[in-house]
Amino acid sequence: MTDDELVRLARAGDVGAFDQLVVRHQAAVFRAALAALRDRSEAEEAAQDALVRAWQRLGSFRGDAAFRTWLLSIAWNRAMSRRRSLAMWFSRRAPLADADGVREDGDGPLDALRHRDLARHATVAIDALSPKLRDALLLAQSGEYGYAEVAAMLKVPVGTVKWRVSEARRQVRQRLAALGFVDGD
Amino acid sequence: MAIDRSAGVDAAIDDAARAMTATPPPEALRRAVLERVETPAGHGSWAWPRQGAAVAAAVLVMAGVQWMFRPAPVVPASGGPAVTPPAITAASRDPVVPGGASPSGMARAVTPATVVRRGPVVRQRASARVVPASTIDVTPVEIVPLGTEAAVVVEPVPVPAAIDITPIAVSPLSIGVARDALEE
Repeated sequence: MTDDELVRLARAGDVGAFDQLVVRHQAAVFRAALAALRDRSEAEEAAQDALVRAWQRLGSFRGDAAFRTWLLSIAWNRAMSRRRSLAMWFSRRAPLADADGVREDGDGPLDALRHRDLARHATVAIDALSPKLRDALLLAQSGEYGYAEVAAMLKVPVGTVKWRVSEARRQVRQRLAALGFVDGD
Repeated sequence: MAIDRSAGVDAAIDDAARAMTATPPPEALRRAVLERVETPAGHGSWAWPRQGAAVAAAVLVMAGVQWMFRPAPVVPASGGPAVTPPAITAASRDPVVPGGASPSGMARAVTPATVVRRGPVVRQRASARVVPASTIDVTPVEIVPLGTEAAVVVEPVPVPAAIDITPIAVSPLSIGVARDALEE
């Protein structure tokens, strides 16, 4: 069953159909919230708010865009609202432990250690980016969304998203180079 | 010192960015959403009691504030009707500088020795009628200009006797002369 069919059923009050939509898109919603908030519990609450709000506003969904794009816009707005709140300002910290999830390839333990070190510094450098650049980079590199979806979430043209991602990469690379991390020959 | 990276810096940036959001949604997310969808806010079994408690708390707070700032009637000693004195204004609470007005541009505030707390605000209602305890007769005062023909009598002031002051001759005295005078 397609999203459009499920949406039609859900608008008629079919909670089961909406539950199917939640199953399909909760990962994308949660990752968008996590990219914005950088905190799992905050992202979970923002994702939950977004999904409930989507249910409440199904009547206003006109179908001009895909349901997923519409849902991601709601999720991003909820996450931004939460990020701007004063409580979030004090509690939000970037969990550096996320860098541990970076793949570790190489020939031996020393390579793995070096790669972990580089990944840790890359994470810190990404966290130090301005919110606009960081949001674009995290959303684009998540592998979950295309540039068009990122552009719809951020409400900017696709070209702007691409520029922000490129600029974010340049700044992170610059910071890493200052620490001695450069590409090998 | 450059450090060689086999994986490449760009790949490390991509991996780090991906890892920062590579977290599966919590198991509880779907269930929580479903619960909230099936039980909309405001229609749950606890919704009315919560709203009622919130309204009652708000009413209590408003009543407390009203009671704290209620007008305090002043009863005169003669047993007359209650009179509400005029409201205490900001001007009446200004500190008084002893010795007159302070020069312009200088701070007027005088640090009081003790802190005086302001009592409840008392306001005078426009409809309140003040009835005096008894009738007070006021004798009018007549102001008459002074006549030009009135003579001004000045009492003579007694002058003391003349005082003769003999001038004193003062001559400079050097240390050597003074020592010689002492030795003699």
